[in-house]
Amino acid sequence: MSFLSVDWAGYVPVLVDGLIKSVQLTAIGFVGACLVGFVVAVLRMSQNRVVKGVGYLYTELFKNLPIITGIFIIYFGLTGVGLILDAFTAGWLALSLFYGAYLAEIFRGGLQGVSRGQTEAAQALGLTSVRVLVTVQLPQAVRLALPATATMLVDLLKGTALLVTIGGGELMTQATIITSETFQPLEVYIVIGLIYVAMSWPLARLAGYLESHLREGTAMSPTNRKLRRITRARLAQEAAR
Amino acid sequence: MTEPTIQIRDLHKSFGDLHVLRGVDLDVQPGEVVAVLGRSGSGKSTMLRCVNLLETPTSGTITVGGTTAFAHRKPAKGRDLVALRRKVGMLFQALNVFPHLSVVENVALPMVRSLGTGHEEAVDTAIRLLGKVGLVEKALSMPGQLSGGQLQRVALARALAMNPLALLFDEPTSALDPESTMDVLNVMKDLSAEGMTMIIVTHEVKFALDVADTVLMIADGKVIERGTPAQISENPQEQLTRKFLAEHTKFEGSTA
Ligand SMILES: Nc1ncnc2c1ncn2[C@@H]1O[C@H](COP(=O)(O)OP(=O)(O)O)[C@@H](O)[C@H]1O
Ligand SMILES: [Mg+2]
Repeated sequence: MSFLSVDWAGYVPVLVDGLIKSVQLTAIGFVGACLVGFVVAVLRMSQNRVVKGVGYLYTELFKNLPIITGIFIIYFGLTGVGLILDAFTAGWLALSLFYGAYLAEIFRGGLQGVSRGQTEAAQALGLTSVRVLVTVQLPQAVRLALPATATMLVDLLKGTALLVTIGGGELMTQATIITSETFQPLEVYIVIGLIYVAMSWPLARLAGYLESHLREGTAMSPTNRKLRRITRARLAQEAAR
Repeated sequence: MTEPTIQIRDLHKSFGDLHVLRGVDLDVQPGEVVAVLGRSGSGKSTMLRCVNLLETPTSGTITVGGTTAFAHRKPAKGRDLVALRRKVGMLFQALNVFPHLSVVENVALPMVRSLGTGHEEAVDTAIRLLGKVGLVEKALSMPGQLSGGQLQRVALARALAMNPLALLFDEPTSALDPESTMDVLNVMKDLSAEGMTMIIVTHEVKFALDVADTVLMIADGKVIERGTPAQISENPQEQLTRKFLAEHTKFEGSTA
């Protein structure tokens, strides 16, 4: 191990700590972003012009503001109005708000990508508008939006590294601490970089795997699986007769 | 006399300045098959889509199974709207089978979600109806693996699963090759023999004359002629009807 000059074994607890923080920030940030994204997408598709305008302003604002500026406003800026957030909370909040804006666009695209014919066919069957949404529009929109959403998830994971600027405690923050103690920036940042790659690459693969499963028609809901199971049983009965 | 299954009175529909339907009247009796002929753009689809309120009429009245769908410029809403749509099934030119659901789910899931049918019963009904349209062996296939004609037959089974009072067909074979067209038309013919009430918009003139009890010719949003298939084919009164029939039967002899 001569080409490694940092005592990595000693830093394992620090790295694990950073890793857990990164994963937590990614998970919480992504769930938040999905919620924000869904709400904003629905706002943007509203018939009401004011409601629609609010959704539009939200996405445009966050799409055009640098994330780092947003992070500073939330973490440093809000203390000015008496709102003091710890770096972790400020971190996932900022990621949720920003990635929510990106996801809103993706979700909206997915919902609008469901053809009018599909919607009308569902309506013509006498499904209520909620049922049309849940049974036909959302499942198809999810399939359409999945690849771009997965890209955003990976992007968000990498985006957690920005929280180094407010001492977010995640991997990148730990990297700067290790560097300041070892004076080996090249080795430290390469190793940390590889850890990021090792996390985001499987995530992207998982998304691809999910996508191909959905494309081949894997049933998403328990009801659908049940209907298929009963059908399989019935067909087997008939074949046996 | 029995009450008509579908009754349309003085139906008007405008899209902005475009006056598409200009006073259409139609009674469809239980078990009656009405074929609707007419040039593209004459308002046939709009008329069908007004019956289940996919389009909101401008004025007139529509009743389905004795219940008002549209009157006094007001369409049925909420529960009434949903109830109306359950009563009339519709097949479209576009093959609107739900691509994310297997064939059996396409047929069974709307029953579960719309009628509250139990899972077992929904599947039994779905399998029976898929048998009727000749697709039991495709029950667990995904729509992407099916041909156009098969998809349209799935859509038909799906519509039948709601146990409708009447079916509306909007050029159901226009997107299909001749062989698939025959498969779909044969199933429709079976349905008519079983007494299903249907309004069929089609360019398959021979089929229309064969299967229909009443043939309607629409031009510019008005019914310009109606009669039995014999009256329409042997003694059409209107110049436009004669021309339409001539154009649409022109090559039929040579391809048969
Ligand atoms: N949603 C709509 N908005 C505006 N115009 C429409 C709409 N739907 C149909 N039209 C117009 O109404 C006329 C009749 O259309 P349609 O009922 O589809 O005719 P057909 O089915 O006989 O071909 C056409 O001129 C068409 O362009
Ligand atoms: Mg049409």
